[in-house]
Amino acid sequence: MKVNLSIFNSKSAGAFVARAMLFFLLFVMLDRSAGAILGLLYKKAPHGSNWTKVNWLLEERFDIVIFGSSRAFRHYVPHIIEEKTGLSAFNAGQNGQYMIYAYALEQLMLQRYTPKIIVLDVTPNFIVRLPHPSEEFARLSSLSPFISNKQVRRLITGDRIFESLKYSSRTYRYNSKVLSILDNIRIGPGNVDNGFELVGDVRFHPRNGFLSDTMKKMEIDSFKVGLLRDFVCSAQQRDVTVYAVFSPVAGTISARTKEVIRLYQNYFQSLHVPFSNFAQDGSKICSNKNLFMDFIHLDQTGAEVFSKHVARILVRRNN
Amino acid sequence: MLFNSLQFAFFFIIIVALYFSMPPRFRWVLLLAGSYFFYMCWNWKYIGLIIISTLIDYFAGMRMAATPEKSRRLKYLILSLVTNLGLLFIFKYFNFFSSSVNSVFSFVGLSFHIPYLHVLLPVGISFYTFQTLSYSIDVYRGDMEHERHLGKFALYVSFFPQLVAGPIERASRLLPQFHRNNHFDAERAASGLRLMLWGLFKKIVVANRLALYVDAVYGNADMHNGLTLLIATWMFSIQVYCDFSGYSDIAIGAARVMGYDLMRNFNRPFFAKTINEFWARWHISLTTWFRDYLYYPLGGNRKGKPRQIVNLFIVFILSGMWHGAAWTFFFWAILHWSWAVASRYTLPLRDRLIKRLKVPGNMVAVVRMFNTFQLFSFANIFFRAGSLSKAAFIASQICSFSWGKLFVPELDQFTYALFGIIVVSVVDVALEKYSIVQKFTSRPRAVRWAAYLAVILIMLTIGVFDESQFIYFQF
Repeated sequence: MKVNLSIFNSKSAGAFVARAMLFFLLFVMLDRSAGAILGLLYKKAPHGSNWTKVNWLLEERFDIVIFGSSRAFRHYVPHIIEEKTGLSAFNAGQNGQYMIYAYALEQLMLQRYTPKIIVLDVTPNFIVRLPHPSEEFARLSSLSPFISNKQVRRLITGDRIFESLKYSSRTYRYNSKVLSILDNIRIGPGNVDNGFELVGDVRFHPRNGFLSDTMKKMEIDSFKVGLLRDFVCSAQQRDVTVYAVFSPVAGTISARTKEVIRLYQNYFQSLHVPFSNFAQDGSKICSNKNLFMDFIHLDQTGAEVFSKHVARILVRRNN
Repeated sequence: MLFNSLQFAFFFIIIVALYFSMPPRFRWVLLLAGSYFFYMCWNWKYIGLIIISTLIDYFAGMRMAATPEKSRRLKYLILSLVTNLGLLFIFKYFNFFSSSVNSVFSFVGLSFHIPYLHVLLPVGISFYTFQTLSYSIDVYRGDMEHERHLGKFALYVSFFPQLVAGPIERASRLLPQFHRNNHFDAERAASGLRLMLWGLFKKIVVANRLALYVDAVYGNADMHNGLTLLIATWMFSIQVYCDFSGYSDIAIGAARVMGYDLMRNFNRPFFAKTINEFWARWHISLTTWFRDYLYYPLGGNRKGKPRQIVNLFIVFILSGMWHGAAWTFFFWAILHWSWAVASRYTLPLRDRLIKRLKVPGNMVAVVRMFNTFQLFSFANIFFRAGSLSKAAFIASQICSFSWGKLFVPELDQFTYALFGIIVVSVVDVALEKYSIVQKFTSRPRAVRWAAYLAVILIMLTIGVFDESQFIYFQF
């Protein structure tokens, strides 16, 4: 009995491999086409919430760009800053995103244009190791459409070969975004002012402290500290003025947060970055709970009051 | 190396290409090396456990074959049982045993404490232990010839497609296949790949997506109302089905590409009309294992009703404990046992009642399927909760009917999950009612390829590629 020893000697196997290659080719073509369509739709979405801000930031040019977490998102009112400084401003703050995201977004922006001023609103999460660090990286998937940027790719894939390979699929870059893309196109512009969500006055809810205060042991993440330095240095290399801010909280901060703020003071001093701490005990904003929606987030009135403060500082420092 | 990872895709392509490129007499070496590599990707140290089980059972099989008297063969069977179950006990049950005994000691005021072992649970230990035990028992009973080829026996214990989560194969089915010379069969390979693709769809699009919601709700159960907990429990039932049957499909498909037939592990269990039928359709390789090696030897249903109830109790408890070393699994087993007994003995009465009331057959079937799903889901609260107190809380919240607003973190995520469930349901209905596989394979190639491409595109667009483990890996 004759036995086929090699897959390549077998007619049926050869035909199968040829068909498999043809199928793969078709898949690549379809994937590229679908990815291109999704990419177009992604860019077409008007200014809405969440990720559509990224397109907005990258498509237009702004003089002042504010980076940070939900605190940045809720604390800086661009039109107030524009009025006071005479410069265009954009709030790029994003809920649940910290140093890694801010760095990636800054790199994307600097690839396209150079603003005059960058404001980095920091929280303890920007340098403290979070309980599930991988989740912080996973949240970067909102930037996956921009995976062709070297820094973004490095952060999202961690330079792992199989992870990088996944992103060679054009469709995968828009994974889990299809409905939100369509929804953003459908609903049109949200109630936003250059990235700032107009939420109005919200009643104070006593919740949402800093995550670092709930940890058993706080640990500084050297990787994130490295990104903080890179964030500042990339901007300074392009002659962008960087300001760092720790924005107000409702009441008194913990000893642990004070320790983090001290660390920030040292870091920013060594980087020649002016650092303003608005979370000091007894400050006017901090002691007025009516300006807050919870312990760490201002409401719209609070944001307007605070933005005026920030704008005044920016004007003073730039004159 | 998980089935839902690119690493596995590359590993599998290389193995298949090499497999059909080399002379058949050496293929077992490739598959054995590949299987050990596959296992060692998880934790290389624990490969020793598989090798110990393999050597002991190979030796026991040889000795049993050389010993005609059953009484003398028994000591080799005991050697196999003690070794395999001993390893299983040490790695899976010792800490549970210690904590339970220590709790009793502490309750009666004794200060003595049994120490805990700081060991990882070897992935798939329950699966390969049961697989290798079936060989020893079959050889002892004289149901099969012993295996003379150590390498092929080692391959039977560690065959990578089904090593870590089954199906738990019988030696009499799988071992002879390793003596066969498999030639490349394009149709069979396509059928295997199709099954793998469908398994991946169930895992990536449905199970992983549902896991996001289930984890969010069960992780903070005390923050959620009864309605949310009920939906999360239903979702967990679908998640565990898509996760485990998805794994089984990939395993069966991968083996089929190389020419090996693994046993069916799921037969659309949500179409079961009674809990007993459910167990005939769910994790078939385990339920038939317990049936053949425990239930029947205990007397099955041949020794009267009381004895059958006791036998079922033993089987369900051991099945529960097979799943995990925790009281939650014990309780899960108790629930399933009580439902199985109640279902078995009330069925004739219910049938008579339905006949008398002249309820349409279709309606009866739908109601029974719904009820079976509810019973399965209710038991799953204990399967998923992690502690008895948490499970009791969730069950009480659901049963209190104090339902408020449904927790929906992100509507689009919920929609993706729903879409996946609908696709799986439609396919399962089509498979149950009509033989769509045959119909599909007879379609022109363009139609088939369009369907495959659509499935892949859907996976890339809405699948969750977090390479999360399969639920049954923990067992």
